Amino acid sequence: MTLRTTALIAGALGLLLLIGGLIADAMRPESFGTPHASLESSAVIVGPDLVATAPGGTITVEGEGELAAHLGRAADVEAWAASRDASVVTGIPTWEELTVEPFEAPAAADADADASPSASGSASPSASASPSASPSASPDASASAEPSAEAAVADIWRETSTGEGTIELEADTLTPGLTLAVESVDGALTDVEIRIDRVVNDGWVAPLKWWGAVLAVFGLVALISLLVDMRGARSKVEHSVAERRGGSPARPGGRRERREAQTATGGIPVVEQDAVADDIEAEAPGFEPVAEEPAQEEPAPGDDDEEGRDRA
Amino acid sequence: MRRTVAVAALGATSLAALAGCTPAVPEVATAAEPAETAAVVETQVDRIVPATFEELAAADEALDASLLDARVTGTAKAVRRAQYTQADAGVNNAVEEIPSTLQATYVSAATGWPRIMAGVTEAPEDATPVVALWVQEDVESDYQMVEWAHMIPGATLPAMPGVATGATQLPLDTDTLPISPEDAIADYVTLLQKGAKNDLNDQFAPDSYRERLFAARKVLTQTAKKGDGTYVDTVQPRMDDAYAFETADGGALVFAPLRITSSLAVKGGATVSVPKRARALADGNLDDKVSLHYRDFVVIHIPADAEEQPAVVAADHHLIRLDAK
Repeated sequence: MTLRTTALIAGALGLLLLIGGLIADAMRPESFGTPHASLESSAVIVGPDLVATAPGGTITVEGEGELAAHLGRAADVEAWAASRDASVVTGIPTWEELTVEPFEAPAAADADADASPSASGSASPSASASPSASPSASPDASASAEPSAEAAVADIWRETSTGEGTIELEADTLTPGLTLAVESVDGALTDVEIRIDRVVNDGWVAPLKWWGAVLAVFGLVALISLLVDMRGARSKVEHSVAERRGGSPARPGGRRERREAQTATGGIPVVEQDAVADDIEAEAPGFEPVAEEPAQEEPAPGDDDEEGRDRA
Repeated sequence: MRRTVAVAALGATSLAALAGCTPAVPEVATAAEPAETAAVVETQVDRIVPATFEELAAADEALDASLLDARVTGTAKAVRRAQYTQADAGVNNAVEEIPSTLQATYVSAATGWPRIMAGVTEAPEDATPVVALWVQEDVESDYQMVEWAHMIPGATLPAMPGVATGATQLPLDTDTLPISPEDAIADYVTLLQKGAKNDLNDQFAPDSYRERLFAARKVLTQTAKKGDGTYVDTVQPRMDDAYAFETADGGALVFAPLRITSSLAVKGGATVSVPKRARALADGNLDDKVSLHYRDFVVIHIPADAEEQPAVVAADHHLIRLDAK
C-alpha cells in the first residue's frame, strides 16, 4: 500500500469524522436542562430542596394576570396553601419534565406542638426599663396618614415579588431553606419550569472535528496528487494509441499519405525537393526549403525493422 | 440510497454518542436549614411595626378609633377609643404616647397559630418604655397590636432568644417552670383581688402596679364608707388572650390581659363624683353608683430559678368605660 493510498483512506476516514463531529456539534445538548410541567392550579409550591437542586438556575412560573412569588417557612407555606387550590413540585424525573402533584395539607398543625421545652441558646440583649416617676403620656403630635405600600404583603412572607404573566426567580437569590410559593392573584397558573445547569461531556466533539479536518486535508492532497498522475497516464495512453495507428503505413502517393503529410505540416502543401528546389531558390531567395518528409513522431523502439520493411 | 443510509447511520451514531454525554438528572438535593427560623424575622418586623404605628398615628391625629383596623385591634383599640373620647372631652394628655421606635423585639418561633410578637419601645417623655403585644390569629391574618403597658419603674426584662431564632411559645399549663404561666396569672389575679395582706403577696416581687391599685382601692373604699356605700374591685384574668414566651434562661415572660371592674355605690342621697378623665367616658349622668371598666395588661417574668420570685415587669390600668347606672 503506497503512501498515497494510505492518505486517501485517512482522508475518507477524516471526512467521516468531520461529518460526525459537525453533526454532533449541531445536535449538542444545551448546557442546561429546563424540565417543566403544566399547571392548572392557582398556586404552586417549590420546596427548598428543589430550589437547592438548581444552583445557578432559575425558576419560572407562567400564569394568567398578576403573579406573586413568596418565600416563607415550610410550615407557613403549607398552612397558607391548605386553603387554596395549590400544586406542589415533587421531583425532576427527566431533563424535560417535572412531577407536580396537588397539594395535600399535612395533618392539622397544632399550635401546642410548638410548645417544646427546648430553649434556643442565642439571646438578644435584655431590655432594661428606665425608671420613671410618672407614667403619664403626652399626645403624639406627629402623624402620617400615608398607607404602607407594603401592607399588602402578608406577614408570613419573608420576601414577595410580583410579575405580570410570568415570574422568573434566580435560585441563587432565594434564601436557602425557605419554600417558594407562587400564586396567580386573579387567575390560574399554566406552567412551571426549573432551569438547571448541567455539564455536557462534549469535550470530544471539537477534537473530532479537528482531527477529521486534518485527515480530510491529507486525503484531499492525496487525491489531487492522484489526479495529476492520471493526466500523465492519459498522455501515455494517447501516445500508445497513436503508435498503434501507425502500424499500417499509408500507400505511397495515396490520399492517406497526402492527408498525413498535410497534418504533419499544418496544412502547408509539400512538394518534392528534387523537382522544384532550384525553382524555389531562384524565385524566392532565402526561402527555406521544407523538410523532405512529413514530420513524424519519434519512432518507437522496434519500429526500425518495420520501417526497413516498408522501404524494402 | 446508500448515501442516505450512511448519513443516517452517522447521525444516529453521533446522537447515541451525545446521549451518552448528557449527564443524568440530578437527584433532588437536601437544602440547608434556614438561618432564620423565627416566625417573623427582621425584614418582616420592619414591615409590621411601621405599619402599626402609621395606622396608630393616623388614628391619633384624627382622634378616630375607626381608623384602627388592620394593625391595631382588641384591647388596644378599645383603650385608644376611650382616650380619643377623653381627648374630645378636653382631657389633657388623654392619648398616651407610644413611641414608634422599638429598642427590643421578641418574636415567636411557633409554626402554629396564634403567634405573638412583643416589642419594647423607647421611653416616652416622662414615662417608662412601653411593652406592646402583637398577635397573629391565623395564617391569613396580619400581626395586630392588641395590648400595651408601660414597664414597671426599675423592672428589667429578661434576656430573650434573638429575632433570628425566635422564642418558643409556651403553653400556659407547661410544667417546665417553677410555676406555670396559668398558675402565675391566677395567683396574681387572686392577689389583686384579695389585697396586699394576702399570702400571695410574698410570692411575687413588689411592683408599683398593684401598690397603686391597692392604694386606690383603699381610698375609694374609705370614700364609699363615708357615703355609707361600698367599693368593690372585680379582677378577672383573660386566659384565652394570655400568652407566654420562653426566655433565654428557660424562664417565661407571660402576657396576661385582665378585666377589672371597680364598682362604687353610695347611699343616702349622695352622688358619686369621678375625675374628669373618667367622667368623659360615662354613659349617662352620675348618680349614686358607678362601675368603672378597665382593661389591664400585665407582663410577668417567671424566672427559671425557683428561688427567684415572679415579678411584674410591665402593667397598665386602662379605663375604657364608665357605667353610671
